[in-house]
Amino acid sequence: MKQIAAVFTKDARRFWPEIAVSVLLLAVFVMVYPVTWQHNSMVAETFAGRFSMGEGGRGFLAACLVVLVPVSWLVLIARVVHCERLVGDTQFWLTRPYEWPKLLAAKALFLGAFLYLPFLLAQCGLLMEAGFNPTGYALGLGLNLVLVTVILILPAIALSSLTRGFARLMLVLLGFVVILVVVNVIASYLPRVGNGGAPELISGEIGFFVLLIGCSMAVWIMYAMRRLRMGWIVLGGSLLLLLGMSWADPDRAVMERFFPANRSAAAQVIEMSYAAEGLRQPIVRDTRDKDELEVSIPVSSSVLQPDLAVVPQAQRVTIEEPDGTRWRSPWQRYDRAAFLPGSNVSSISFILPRRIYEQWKGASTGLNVEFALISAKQTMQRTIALPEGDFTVDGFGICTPWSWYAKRREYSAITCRSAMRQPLLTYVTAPWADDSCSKPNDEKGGKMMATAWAGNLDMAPAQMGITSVWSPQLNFSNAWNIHAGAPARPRILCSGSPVSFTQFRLQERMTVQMKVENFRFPEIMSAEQMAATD
Amino acid sequence: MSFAILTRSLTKRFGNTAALDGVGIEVPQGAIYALVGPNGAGKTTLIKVLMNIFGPSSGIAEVQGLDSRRIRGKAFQRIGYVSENQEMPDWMTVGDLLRYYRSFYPDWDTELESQLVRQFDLPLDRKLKHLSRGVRVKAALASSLAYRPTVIVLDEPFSGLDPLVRDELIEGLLDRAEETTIFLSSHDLAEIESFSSHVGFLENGRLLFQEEMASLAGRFREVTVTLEGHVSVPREIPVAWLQAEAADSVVRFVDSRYEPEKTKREVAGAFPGAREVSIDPMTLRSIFLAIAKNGRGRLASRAEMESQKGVSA
Repeated sequence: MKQIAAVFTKDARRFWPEIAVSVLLLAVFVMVYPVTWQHNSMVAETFAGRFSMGEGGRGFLAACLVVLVPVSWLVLIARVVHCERLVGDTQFWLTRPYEWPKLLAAKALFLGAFLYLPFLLAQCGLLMEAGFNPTGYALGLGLNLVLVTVILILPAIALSSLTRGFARLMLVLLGFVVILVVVNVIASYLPRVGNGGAPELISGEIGFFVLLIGCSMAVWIMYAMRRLRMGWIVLGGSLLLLLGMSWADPDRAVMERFFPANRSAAAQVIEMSYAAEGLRQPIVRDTRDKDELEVSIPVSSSVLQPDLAVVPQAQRVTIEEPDGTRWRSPWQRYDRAAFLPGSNVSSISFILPRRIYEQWKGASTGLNVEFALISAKQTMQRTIALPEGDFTVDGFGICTPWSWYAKRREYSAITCRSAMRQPLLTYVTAPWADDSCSKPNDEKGGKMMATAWAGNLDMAPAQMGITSVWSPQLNFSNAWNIHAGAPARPRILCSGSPVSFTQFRLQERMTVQMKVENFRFPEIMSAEQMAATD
Repeated sequence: MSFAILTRSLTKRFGNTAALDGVGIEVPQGAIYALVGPNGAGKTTLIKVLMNIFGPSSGIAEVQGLDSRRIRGKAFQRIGYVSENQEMPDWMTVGDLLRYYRSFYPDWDTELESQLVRQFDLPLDRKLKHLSRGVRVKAALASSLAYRPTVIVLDEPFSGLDPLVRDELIEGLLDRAEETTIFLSSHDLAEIESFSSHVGFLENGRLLFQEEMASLAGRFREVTVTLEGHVSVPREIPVAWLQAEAADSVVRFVDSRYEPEKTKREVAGAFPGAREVSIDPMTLRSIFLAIAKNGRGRLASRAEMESQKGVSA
């Protein structure tokens, strides 16, 4: 303990400027970030998030801090690890009675005190600022720390322990970026059907554990044995595995297991059928990739149970000729909105290689479309008379009506914030008013409903983020009142209007099949035909 | 006999290059052992293997009976190490450094620390990065002596130091020589001659010989024989006579196995008409030059066998 305390104190004295900068950035982040909750901003919530330059200085600063805070952590980690450098043979500490578990413990204590503790306090501060009580989110806060550790901190420690100094570390990071770019460029030239692939099923967990085990082993190898080559082999191998995984797409391999077919329960949830009639006919059109075509097929779906939603995840198409010749596409991501009771699917689209189209064009084929679906059970429904200020929706978050212009009791949108993660999949509806809210109810319009989906079906108590407060986007449909010959006008939400939040929870994964006998691919639609159709 | 440092057939390879090739060193407890050799001989590599900074490719290396591969952590509480090219926490003051190290050594002697600070005239409030090379080495030595190590290993400690600082360091070392074994490397023979008890000569990764200093100095003599008229070196001379050369009426050689009576007998036998024979002791530098010039390979095996006896004795 004496040794741990000595190393910790030494590091704290040595790196107080780096600590001060890191804590200061985090403090500014806590002060500035709430600006992004004020309306439907597109400010980044994660590194892969979105940036907006149009929110003035504070919004831009918040977006910068989302990057700067982790960069300051990287500097802090690199400096404290390189202080007792593990690479080389001339370091003073190698011939002193340092015990590696204590050295590692001292470094962990340092990060605990000057990285994790400020980060945890910042997360709690943001929650409180957003109106959430942090004590109610202990599990989520803990999980976010674990995720940040595995995805950011541990790789930074591993890379620092394998490099001589900060400059070398930066070069290595640059090298990784170059490798990623090269791999992506190469991958873009390799033939693949469709984009997106299967929905994430196991790749996230595998990637998490590969990163956790690979980085932990590299750190252990360096601290316990100082075997540089072995450390690089382990870390490099882990990164290669991650790169290989993104190419091999392990989720496709387990689709059948996660989305079982032919279950009686599945058949009752939803049925899809081919519905070509009159003007509703299959369409084939070009895509940006000259080797691929997009095929749209008119379909209809059966009526859902009242408390269910069905969320399409992916689809796979099999084309079969009477002589037994067949072609099957890989699973392709399905990006349309969820189905609700009362809604009816009108068409589906899939990507087809041009050579397959040319092969079967004009022939009578059997078409089999498999839909990987998730049925989600309704777990909560709240209807709230839209207030003028903040209102809490249990299980969803805290929302605020918002307007582009200052007019009492009339709003353009609803902004929301949720704690530690995006909320569970939620369907939000509210009646639009075409005109002023001050008019009597029967003159406001109000026939058109504003609808929006927000959240996801993930059940984890937290998503990885520098922020602990997320902003679910309620992008309401039918937001503009469009009449021929008149300028489009934005619709409004009136104070006191009923706003419904219906939340769903994953119930079952399933595959539903749709078979079309004697299907014939039509001619590729020309640009003129497409323009006329649009 | 127990050895403070022992290596047997120690080999260290970097790729295809053998930095150490079958080195066998025996450093008795309490010795001041100087490992000498030209630059690139493998001295630093040997020391780094002993300190477990490098692992051996094959062979055995032990310090105080502990396999060098297990020397880490607490083992360094009784081993001191000072190197010419060792990095130090430059941002610390000398006082910070000594205070920091205290917590690592249960046997840290604060009184001895104060004594060393006074003896080496160390500026406690100055940062290491602002110190001259000599003062840095003194600070490193003080921080390696204050816990009374049983073995202290110094890699070229005097390299590039002015004579005054060198003498201060040697004095500081000798003050603690009774309670510790000192193993140091150097490429400068003159600087270790005055205080070493044992010497080993390493070249191209091979130990050419090792011996007690007194024994080495005792068995090497420069012999000058003056004869009548012009002479040449006889064809048959004892193998222990090195660098034999003749000029006019004088023959000179180095006797590497000097014994007064035996040498006189051999000289009389080889030069029956000798007018004058002078036998002079040699400096360590002259001895090493004689060995080097005589063809190291031939001498190595024989000298090593003799030195084994010498050290064991």
